[in-house]
Amino acid sequence: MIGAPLAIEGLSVGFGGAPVVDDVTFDVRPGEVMALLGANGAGKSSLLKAIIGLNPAASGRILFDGADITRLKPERRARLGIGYVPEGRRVFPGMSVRDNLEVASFAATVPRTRLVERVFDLFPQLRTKSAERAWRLSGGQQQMLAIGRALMGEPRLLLLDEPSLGLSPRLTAEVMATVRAIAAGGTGVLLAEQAALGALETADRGVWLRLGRLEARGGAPELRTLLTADSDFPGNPLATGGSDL
Amino acid sequence: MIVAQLLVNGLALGAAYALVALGFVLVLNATGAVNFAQGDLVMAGGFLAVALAGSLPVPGIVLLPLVMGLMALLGLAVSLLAYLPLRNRPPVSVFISTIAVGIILQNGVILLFGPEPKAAPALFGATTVSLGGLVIPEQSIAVIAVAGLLILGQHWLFARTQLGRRLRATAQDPEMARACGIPVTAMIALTFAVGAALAGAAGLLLSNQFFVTPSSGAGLILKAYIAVTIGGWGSVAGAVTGALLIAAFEVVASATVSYSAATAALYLAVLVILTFRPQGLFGEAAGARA
Repeated sequence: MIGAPLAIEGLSVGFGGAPVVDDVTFDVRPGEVMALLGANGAGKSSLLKAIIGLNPAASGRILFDGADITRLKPERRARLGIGYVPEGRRVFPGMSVRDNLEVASFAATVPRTRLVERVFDLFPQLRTKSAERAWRLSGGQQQMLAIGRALMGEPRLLLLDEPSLGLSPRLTAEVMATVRAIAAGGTGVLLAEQAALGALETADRGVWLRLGRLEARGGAPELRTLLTADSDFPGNPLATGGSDL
Repeated sequence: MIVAQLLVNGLALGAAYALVALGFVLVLNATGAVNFAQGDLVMAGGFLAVALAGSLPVPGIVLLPLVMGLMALLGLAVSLLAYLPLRNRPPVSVFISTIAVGIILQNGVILLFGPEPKAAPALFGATTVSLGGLVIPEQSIAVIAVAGLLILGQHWLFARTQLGRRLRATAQDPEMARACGIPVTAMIALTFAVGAALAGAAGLLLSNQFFVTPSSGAGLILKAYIAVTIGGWGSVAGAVTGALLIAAFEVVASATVSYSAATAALYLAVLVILTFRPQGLFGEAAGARA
């Protein structure tokens, strides 16, 4: 069996009141895409932020390569090999495309320029815009930049929060193909998406969150069948007229 | 000829003001907080240069790195004591804490040096240079050159180095910077250190020609604030340009009308600029202003 770079054990996240993530357990293996699904407000973004360390864990453990990172600072987690692409991209707007990439590099063994070239090979559009300030890029280009920036740390785990949000279907397909290519290189990917069926086309496995609790888990085909066949499934976007595509 | 002479004087004064404004805007960008102690840090830098000159009788240019290094340490202390413990509190807490730092510096300097004005040594010498009919103090040329080099050095640091990229990323989105592996707390402390080092340099440069008193900081922070406001809140280039404009205005207006009238005219000009360009001369959009 392949070891999991990420294991979440009974994790809860809260901000004083009711937990927004409640006793969640799952893992992400190297080279697989794990879909983190659920409607708006299910706790997906809060969970990703807890994994990178921007939200404190109320209880439970986060293990990365078997080591407990639950109390580590976000910068330490990033340097261990966790890349984070937040909802809304959050590129550094006043910095050039190249600077956005270079700033996120901290590998001592690989030259920064080579890492930048790797990102440009993955997203050729960024090469032509390398001197452009990030705020001038289109939404799709900013998404590519945000993913590229996360790759500069050569992550073994990539956290993606709603990468298809605001993108056209064609761009979404491009981004998802890139996500598959990244996973094929051995990186574990945790892909948070409201658009469940679209995400399950890219993912190997998935977990379904509803109001912070894990309602279902399984292989992508299995979850897809569950969502399409069971309109009574709690929080099923196909039954509630949600935004799933 | 007189106008040219005044412009050279204005450029020398503006170059020193630019260092004050630069230190102010760097901290502002990195933390979102106004460091009201920046003027008093300039004053402290001036007195530090005076104190060092008392025990080391060397030209100011030799003292400059020492003053900047010691002031950088003071900047680190300010960040550790007056900013970092309050960073998650409302902005007004940082305003008050930096005002308190300024008051501590003023009173500390009064205790150590007394209230009398002091002068730091010239950078190189006190002679004048004749250039095409202009008589330019050597100190003015040295101030322009040193301040210019420091501004270029700051630009190089921020634009061309990995440390500078990390400082800029921290200023633009500290939370995302942390998620990119950047030690944000260290970056903020370092920004305070750079800001205080620039303040120290400005203090040394200004206190030779214009003397320094324990209360000098109040006027300087006001000018830095105005420079950053008319330049465009948060714009580094705008802060430098704003400082140069203020100095040119002060020198030229003071030569033609009284100093009081020139000061009144300066504030009137600021009002006019802000009426027609509320975002400042180089600002792209109005941000949250303190």
